Amino acid sequence: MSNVSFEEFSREFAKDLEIEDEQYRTAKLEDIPQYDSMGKIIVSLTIERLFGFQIAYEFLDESETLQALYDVCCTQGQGK
Amino acid sequence: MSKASLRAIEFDDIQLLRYWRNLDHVRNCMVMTNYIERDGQRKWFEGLNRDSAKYFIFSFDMQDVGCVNLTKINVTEKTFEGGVFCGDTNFLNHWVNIWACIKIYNYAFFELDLETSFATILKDNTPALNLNRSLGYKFLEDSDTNIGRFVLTRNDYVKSSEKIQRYLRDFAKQTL
Repeated sequence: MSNVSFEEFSREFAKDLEIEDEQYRTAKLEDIPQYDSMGKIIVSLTIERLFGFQIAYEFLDESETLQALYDVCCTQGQGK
Repeated sequence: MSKASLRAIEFDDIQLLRYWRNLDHVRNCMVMTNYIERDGQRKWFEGLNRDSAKYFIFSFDMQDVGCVNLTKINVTEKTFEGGVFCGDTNFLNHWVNIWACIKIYNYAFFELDLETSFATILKDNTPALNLNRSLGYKFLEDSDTNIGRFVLTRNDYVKSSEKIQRYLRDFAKQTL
């Protein structure tokens, strides 16, 4: 189990992408305007900071929601 | 391994550039939204001052994706404007767009030895605003109700882009 909670992950996600509303927690990632090509690089750095590994770009691209991305991070992070 | 590349535009590229530039997702993000005709594009290319403007096509795994450019290059004032658009909608949210930007900003700041960049951006162009903020641009002034002017110094660029450059080098495994 990861030491990083979903709450913390989502808070840092929003902070780094400078998202102000709360919709992002349940929205599809593709519908979040800040989650674009630069946004994905920024989030990969967020994940590296929180979970200590570099996530494959495919996961950033394929995860549909923030919760799904968090689950990937927890799974991937366990092997590091 | 996937590879990004950049090449200076040549005459054979200009109709592809025109096609991209006239697509709604590109045109609607521009300050000038006019439709560009075939002949107008040819005249633009023939009249291009290559000392003050440089246009490049960037590609991913040999597939042309979009255009990055340096314009209004002033070697006396050491200033320029940077621009980018992604023509191929399959790559709209791909890191290759960022790679291409970093590549030409490094070229401008460290090979051409320019010091300051300016950008003119529509206020509802969220991707461009996100990109420029991440590169270190600071808001300068409103030049219209819907248009903002931004400025980027070399020092701010180096500081702001450090982690992005590391990502592209170490993780995406691309040269910069």
